[in-house]
Amino acid sequence: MADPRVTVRMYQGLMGDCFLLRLFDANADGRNGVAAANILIDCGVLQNVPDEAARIARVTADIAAITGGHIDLLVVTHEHYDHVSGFGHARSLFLDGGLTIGTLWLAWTERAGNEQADALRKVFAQTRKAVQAGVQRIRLAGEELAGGGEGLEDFLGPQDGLAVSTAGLTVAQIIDGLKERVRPAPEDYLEPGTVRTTPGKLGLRAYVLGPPHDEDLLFRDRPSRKLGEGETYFGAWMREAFEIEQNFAPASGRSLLNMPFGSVYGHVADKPFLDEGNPGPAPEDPAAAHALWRVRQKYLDDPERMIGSAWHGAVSQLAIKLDSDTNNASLVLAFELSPGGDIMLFAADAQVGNWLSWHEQNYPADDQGTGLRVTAGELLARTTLYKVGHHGSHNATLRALGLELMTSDRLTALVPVMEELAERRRWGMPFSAMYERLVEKCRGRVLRGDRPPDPAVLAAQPDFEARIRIDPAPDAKLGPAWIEYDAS
Amino acid sequence: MATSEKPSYDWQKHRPAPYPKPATRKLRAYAFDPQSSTDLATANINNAVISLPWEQPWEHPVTPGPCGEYIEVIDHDPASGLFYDPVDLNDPALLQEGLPASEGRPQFHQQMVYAVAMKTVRSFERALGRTIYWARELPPPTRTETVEARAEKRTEVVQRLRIYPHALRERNAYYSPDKTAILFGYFQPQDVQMGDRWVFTCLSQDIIAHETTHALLHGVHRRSVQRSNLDTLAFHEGFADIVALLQHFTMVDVLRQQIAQNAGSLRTTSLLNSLAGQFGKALGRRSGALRTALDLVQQDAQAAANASPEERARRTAATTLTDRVREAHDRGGFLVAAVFDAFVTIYERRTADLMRLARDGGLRSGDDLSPDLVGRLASEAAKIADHVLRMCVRALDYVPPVDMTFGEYLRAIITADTDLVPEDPFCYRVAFAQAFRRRGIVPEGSLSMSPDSLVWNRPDSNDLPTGQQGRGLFTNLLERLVFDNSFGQMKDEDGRPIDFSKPGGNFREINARVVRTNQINAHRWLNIDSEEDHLWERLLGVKLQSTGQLKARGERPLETVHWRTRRKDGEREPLVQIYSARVARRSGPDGQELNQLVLQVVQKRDGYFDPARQARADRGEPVEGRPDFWFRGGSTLLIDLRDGQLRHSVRKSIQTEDDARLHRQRQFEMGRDGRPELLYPHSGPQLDKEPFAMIHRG
Repeated sequence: MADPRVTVRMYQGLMGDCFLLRLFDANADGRNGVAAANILIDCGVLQNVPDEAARIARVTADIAAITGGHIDLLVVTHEHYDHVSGFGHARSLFLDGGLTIGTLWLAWTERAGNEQADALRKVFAQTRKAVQAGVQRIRLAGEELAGGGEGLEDFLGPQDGLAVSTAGLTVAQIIDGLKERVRPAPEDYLEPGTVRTTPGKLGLRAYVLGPPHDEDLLFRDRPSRKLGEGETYFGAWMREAFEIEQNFAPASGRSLLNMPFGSVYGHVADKPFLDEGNPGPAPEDPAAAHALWRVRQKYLDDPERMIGSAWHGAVSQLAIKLDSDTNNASLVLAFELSPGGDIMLFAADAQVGNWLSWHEQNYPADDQGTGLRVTAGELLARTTLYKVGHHGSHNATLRALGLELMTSDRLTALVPVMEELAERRRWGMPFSAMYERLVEKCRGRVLRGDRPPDPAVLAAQPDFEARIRIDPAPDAKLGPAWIEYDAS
Repeated sequence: MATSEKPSYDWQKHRPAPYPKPATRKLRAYAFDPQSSTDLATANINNAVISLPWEQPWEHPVTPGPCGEYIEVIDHDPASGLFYDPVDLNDPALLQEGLPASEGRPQFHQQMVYAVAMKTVRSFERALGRTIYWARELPPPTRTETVEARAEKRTEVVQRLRIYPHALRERNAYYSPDKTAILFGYFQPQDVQMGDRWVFTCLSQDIIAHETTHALLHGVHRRSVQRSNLDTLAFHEGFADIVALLQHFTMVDVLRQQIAQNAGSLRTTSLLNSLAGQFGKALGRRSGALRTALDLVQQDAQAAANASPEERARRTAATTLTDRVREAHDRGGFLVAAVFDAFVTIYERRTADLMRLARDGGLRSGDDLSPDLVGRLASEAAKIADHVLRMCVRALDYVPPVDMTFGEYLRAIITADTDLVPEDPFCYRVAFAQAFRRRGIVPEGSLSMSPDSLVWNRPDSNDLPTGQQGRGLFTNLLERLVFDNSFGQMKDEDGRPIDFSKPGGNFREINARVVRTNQINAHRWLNIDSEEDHLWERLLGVKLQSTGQLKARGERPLETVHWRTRRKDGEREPLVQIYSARVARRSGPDGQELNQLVLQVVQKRDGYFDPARQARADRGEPVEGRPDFWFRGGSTLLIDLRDGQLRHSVRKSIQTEDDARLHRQRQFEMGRDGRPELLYPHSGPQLDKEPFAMIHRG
């Protein structure tokens, strides 16, 4: 049978990932109607993006329509809100039976009963609690998380009991709901270094590149402090997450408000005390009041030296670590468009360690697992379509062992990013040095989530232009809902 | 009849002689931390009383905070939403040793951070031989800088270090160069069985001393907080631990008790050679540079005891420093280990006779030492710790102004000590050189590890400018500077007279203006033209020649240093900065005296990751985009005030034949994670914002 023709639809305006791969019979006429096989990779929009619900609603509606209500394979890459929130927003479709889903693929990290995976999910869950306790205390003080982790809580999705937007579901609940609905077989929790064929009337071979089992590569940083005697990495991390949760907990056993000192020693509430409108003590007020007031004058004298939000740093650092470790636990798939031919690389949000691990293993060249072994380097060299990691951030596209190995002169890239929105949160997405090189390597063939393709590139490369279609009925405010590309 | 006159009495004249001010202000603190009070073995020595000299009339009086001449404590606890009342050390109830030690009272915390930080300041200042100031990093100006030193706004002198005892809710405390402040955290360890629910980092002597030292070091070396090689921040961490460690030996009760307990040995693990006990316990992991240091010393001992030569070689290799050790605390540990090793070696040599006498008198191994012997050993240990601390601090004036390495620090220690104390009967310098070699810290370009070859080379007289014309020699510079508060007609840089005579004037404020004036005058001196600029360039390691001079000599300008166009002749000249011009007055153990001018001359050059772009930019050809990093060079000049002669020029040239140092920094900047090939580099120079916050967080 001839190789299928593959069209990749990237949903736009999301600041999140949602990709629909449609496989058509090469002998059929064109690419009209419902495809022979539909593969959906992630479906999410970042929390608290303006018009969050409206943005994702038109996407899920489009998916339901164009697939004819059946998805042969659903791939969920990792536990981030911007990759899974769509399943919660469109709960009736994905969780309550509106769509039929043939198979669900997840990374091995999601598999219950696997000792390493269970420990990982447990420590992630505790860390989420710690970050959310911190963010809650920060909000209680009338502030927003600062110190490098700005907005990262939005990747975590809502807290337990506080979910409103996703029909009351947290990220973990959404994934649990999908698992319950589709009931993946043990082998659907994919292991790195294996090859699977996608289910459906037509299929593609999919090389599983990550996430790795090696904890040195799985986590962003090994702990900078040395571990104590007999202490494991998970143990040390767990302890730290517990401690931070305790530090910021709204109440504790001994103190109603979890305060460090008894209330008998002199103190004042800081916000009204430091408020500009505070007139200060009158001459007849006690000397202690005047002493306190003089310290206030010193403090306010130079605003740059005030400590402001420095205390957010502990929460920020933990949020950054959780964020990148979750990203790094991404399921990464390389789809083969023809035997030994072109590759579509879906890197999810994989970061440095995940990328490095691809090269630590070889991949069976055929379904029997015998015969020749393929290296990650070869797969990268054959890559003609690259779904850029983590919205184009600085550490999710490897250089020497990544992009520089993608040597095909037909390389095209998909970047699900909204630059303006990222800028507002001070995230460098896409990261300029990487992005410039990407554009250069692709000779301009870069499709983005926030803008149409470069007209100059389209004009100069008619073959490229012929492969692209854009949502013919764009929303007046949100723009087109999708752009699609014929990968083969 | 005379009316009865009341006896007149003039109350106005009733003025008793003023009471003398006390010599010292005594303040209670934990000798270690609150945890040590709950441990029976250490409870009786954990109460320390710190004596600070009473404020002088020319110093800021201590006001509620405490806020004094050098330090102000501000107790804002934003995570709790509170601001705590400041402690008033002048309250009659507190004049006698202050508040008693208490974990539960924030005002005691304020007292303790103040007392320990001030103690650290005083001992540092004494060793350095001059008044210290704090430094503050300001964000770089958006406009290109101008030549005048006064327009250089990136580091400013600060009179008072700020301390926030309860700034953070985390297992962390750090020095912020941007705020010139120490932020202390408090936290709840997961293991509540420890008894104390909250652990306060501001109640640990070691942590306070450590963080204060970061601030002191920044004040002396403003570039020390910006990384340019692996050793930069590691030196900060290591040096801060060295100071904290050596301060243990100033506490007499602790010293005697611990020496008695360990039969005179300083190598056995004890309170004396460990840092931050409670913090370490609460961490539940081993931490810090000192921990690494002690591990190294123990591994040495194991290596020595091991019979197999291969095993011995393997262990020895593990205890020497290589570029594979990257983390700042780990790396700093090697420095601490070297200094601690030197200290103990000297102590053992100097007390060998005492131990022999005791053994002759019948002391056997396992016996308790006599109280007399303990007293003598303790006083020796205290004296040597003081000597070693002074050696380590003095050396800070003998290191290059930028991009220092551990090896250069060793050379600085040896040179500074040789200059002040020419004879070395107790072999301090040999002990230092040996201890550093054992850790694999070997300076580049020094012939051997003997102390005399580690001394910085004297400037080669053949290369020296003659000073026949132009800017003249250093005596010419000295004529332009002020060396004391001469109460004469001193004017500051704006031509305003500096009035030293006004009563109640603050010495450090006035002195800061003198320092500033000297800095500016030194800069003006450096800007005087000289036909010998090519010789000066070699001596100072910076570019000085104007485009006109270069043309006359048939040379091309190095365009990546920054230039300005002169008004007088339209020629361009390179920008040079004077980081500091300070006079140090040092005294040695036997009354030796040394007065020096320490001058830091620095120049900045644009650095590029791509050598081809670098070459183009160096030639002045157009290069797209911003430079990727800043490369700095220059020298520290040590000028003897007795004869106005240059003793040393400790140099890191801005440009050399092979530009090896530029290449090294490029590799470092590109691969902060250790593997430059992994990621696409950030463009534009990276500023280390809060460099000390991150390296403590998990």
